[in-house]
Amino acid sequence: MSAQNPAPPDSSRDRLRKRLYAVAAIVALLGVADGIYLTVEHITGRTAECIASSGCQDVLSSKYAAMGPIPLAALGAFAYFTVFSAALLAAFGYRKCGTFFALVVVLMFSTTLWLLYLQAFVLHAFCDYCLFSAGVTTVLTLIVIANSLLRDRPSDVA
Amino acid sequence: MRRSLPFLIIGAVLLVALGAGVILFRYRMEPAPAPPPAAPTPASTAIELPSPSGSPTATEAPSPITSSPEITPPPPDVSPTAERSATPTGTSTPKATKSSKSIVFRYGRPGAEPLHIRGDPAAPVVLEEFGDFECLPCSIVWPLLEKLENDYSNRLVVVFRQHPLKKHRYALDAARAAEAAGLQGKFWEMHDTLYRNRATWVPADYLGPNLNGYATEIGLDLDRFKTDMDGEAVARRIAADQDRGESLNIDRTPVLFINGEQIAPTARDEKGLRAAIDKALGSRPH
Repeated sequence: MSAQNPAPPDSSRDRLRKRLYAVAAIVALLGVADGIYLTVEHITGRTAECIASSGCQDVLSSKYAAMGPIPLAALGAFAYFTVFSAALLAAFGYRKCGTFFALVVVLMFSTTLWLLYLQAFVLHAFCDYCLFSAGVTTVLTLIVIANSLLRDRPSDVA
Repeated sequence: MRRSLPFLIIGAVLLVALGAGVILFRYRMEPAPAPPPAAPTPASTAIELPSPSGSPTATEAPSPITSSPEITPPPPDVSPTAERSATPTGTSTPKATKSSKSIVFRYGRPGAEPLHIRGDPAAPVVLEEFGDFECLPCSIVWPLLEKLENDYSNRLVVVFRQHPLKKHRYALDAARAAEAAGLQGKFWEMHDTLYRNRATWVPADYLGPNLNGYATEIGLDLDRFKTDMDGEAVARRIAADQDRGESLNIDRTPVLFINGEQIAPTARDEKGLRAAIDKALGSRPH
């Protein structure tokens, strides 16, 4: 990942954006933890106990829970870690990482919508951990939207 | 320093994440403690696992298995299911000895008697399954076990143990239904019906109508089935299997043992099970 010089004149918008990136990095860590937990449960053949819903077993044991030999949760953990790294670098002023962060989050949000559809209309079961992950992705998406709204417009720079 | 700080943080987080994953994995994979050797007491379930073919151990020894007064004889109409009894034994025969008449387990507490067996009780390989009818992975393993039973024919016998998990709302009722069917000699018919129709009864608002329908479908005496489901005999069998499961630290389903060796969840696919069975047979891959 190429490093760019952090933008020297930090506008208040820039500072706010960096703070949002820092928040995104912390939120992404929750997703990493969720993904690692579900991956371990998948590999060890256990089924995570649902707390609020009752469909963990149905969802996590379904054919959609893995892509070939790779648990979907492992891909999720990797994606969240990527988001964490990009958000952290963006918070430190690496601007291109901010764009990369936004792209990955949009991709993850699309995947989340697909997974929610599967739970609701195909499996007819919801899993707490998947819903938690969906919540994390949604927060990250909101941060991406907020960041795009805070982007300096030409009129602001002038 | 400021430029390298984010990379240091990323590296540290990566290490922590991987470390946490490994620790969690090890914790979750902790094997059940080795079951204590069966004490030669009447309460100990005798489980003599059939030895690998050709094993000279005690094969021809006089069988310690005799008919037990409290064990119901196998129903006559359960073919190909063979319900056999494993009775307490005081002998301390070496591990993996074989009796042509029965299966004797030497690990864990006894479990329900007579056993629910599918296949030839004299088969050299015993696959013991702790299952829960509501559990999706169990329903995935079910056709696989059937396939293996067919492929290995008289070299493999499958034993089913009830292990309904508390987190499943209908698991215990389903176990009761299977046991009640077993009292009419149709355990495996109900077992198969429950797994086959799992997607229907698991999300149902009421389980009763489904179970009654299945009972009728497999030709059970419905009144007796309903009575037996709430009866003492059924409850005792399930409790005994659960007790055995607890003694083996079983906290999930399905859990499979092949000749006394617990199969890792990651080896619970066809390839892994075939490898384990072949190993137990001491033969080349089937």
